[in-house]
Amino acid sequence: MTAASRSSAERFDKIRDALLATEEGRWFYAALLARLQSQDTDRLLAAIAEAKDAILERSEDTRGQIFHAELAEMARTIQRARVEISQIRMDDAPPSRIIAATEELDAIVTATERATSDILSASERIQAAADKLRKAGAQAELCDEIDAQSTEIMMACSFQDITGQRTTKVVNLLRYLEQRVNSMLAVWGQTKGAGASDLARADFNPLDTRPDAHLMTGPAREGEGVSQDQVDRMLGGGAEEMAEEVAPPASGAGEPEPKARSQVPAAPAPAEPAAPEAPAEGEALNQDDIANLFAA
Amino acid sequence: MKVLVVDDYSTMRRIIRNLLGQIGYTDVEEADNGDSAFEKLKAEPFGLVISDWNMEPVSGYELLQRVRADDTLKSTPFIMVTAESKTENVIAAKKAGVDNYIVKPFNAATLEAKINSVLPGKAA
Repeated sequence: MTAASRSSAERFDKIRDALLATEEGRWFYAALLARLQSQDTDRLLAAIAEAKDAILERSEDTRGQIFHAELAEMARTIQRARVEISQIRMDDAPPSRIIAATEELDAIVTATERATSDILSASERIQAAADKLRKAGAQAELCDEIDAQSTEIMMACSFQDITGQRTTKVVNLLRYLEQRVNSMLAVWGQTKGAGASDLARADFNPLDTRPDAHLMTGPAREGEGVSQDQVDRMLGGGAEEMAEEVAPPASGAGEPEPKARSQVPAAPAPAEPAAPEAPAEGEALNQDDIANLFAA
Repeated sequence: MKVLVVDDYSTMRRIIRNLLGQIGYTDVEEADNGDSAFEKLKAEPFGLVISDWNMEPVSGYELLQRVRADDTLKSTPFIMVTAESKTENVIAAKKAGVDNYIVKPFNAATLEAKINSVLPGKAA
């Protein structure tokens, strides 16, 4: 502290002490302090407000810049998509490929249905044969085993129902995509070809209006859905309460228990035929070629 | 006793019909959706309905609701045989009045046990 400032402090203390020695002086001193504090507070608040305004102003600028940047990026992306879609030739357009894919899937369903029907017919004939054998006096246990295994084959054929439902889900999704792609092509000026027009007319409603549509999702994937045991417990009572505790079934849960394996001794394996001359890779074979391969 | 098997897949109807035959139910009628099934149910008496869920244009769930809402049919035993195996499906079916519920794929023993559980005098 310098001599001047020390002298100033001493003079201040003397005057303050003199003021505090009288009642009037103490009132004046208190009032002066209050006024000075109020002015300081006002100045401080004003400074804070100024700082806040400055910060907000800068923040608004930043937000605005981000918003503009996002809009600009969106505009660029839309423009790029528009250009790419406008360059699609109708022959190569996704809809035509989607049509092909859905037709392939339909063909798979038809083929598996036919194959399943053949397997079922064969199983029924085996069961009929087992019945004839039983009536002819053949060993009853053996006939029962043939019958049981035929039933197993039949039950395994139920896969066709499940795969059919899954395939239908995929086909519906593809058709929905067709519609969306067609809509985009229409919006962005792509001239529609015949295929696209047909698609636009397709009577497909991705929003099923049936009252239980929200419940119809088809077969659950592995790890989803509930097992037969869990269904039994739910139907046994307290379904709603159980809904909370039901965990996805463990892998393999709910699958039918395999029946006892056949006691029939396995037939000796047929002798391996001599290996035919292998056709060249990619070579097309006619029915005669195939017959020759099997005859060799 | 006459049994009505309702499924849009002919394969599945055939499998169930065959299994029913093996356990002694040979009088079996078939329908490929809830609408035609309801017509058959109204036309003649059935002792049991075994129905799939997911069918067009009328699902097995809607068929169940129609059956339970019909004074002459409401007490007909009804088993749902379906791949719809989510908890909410089972709860919805139970609330709608299903007697039992079989998840596909299933086996003959399960089908027989569920049929026995819903038929009067057959429960274990």
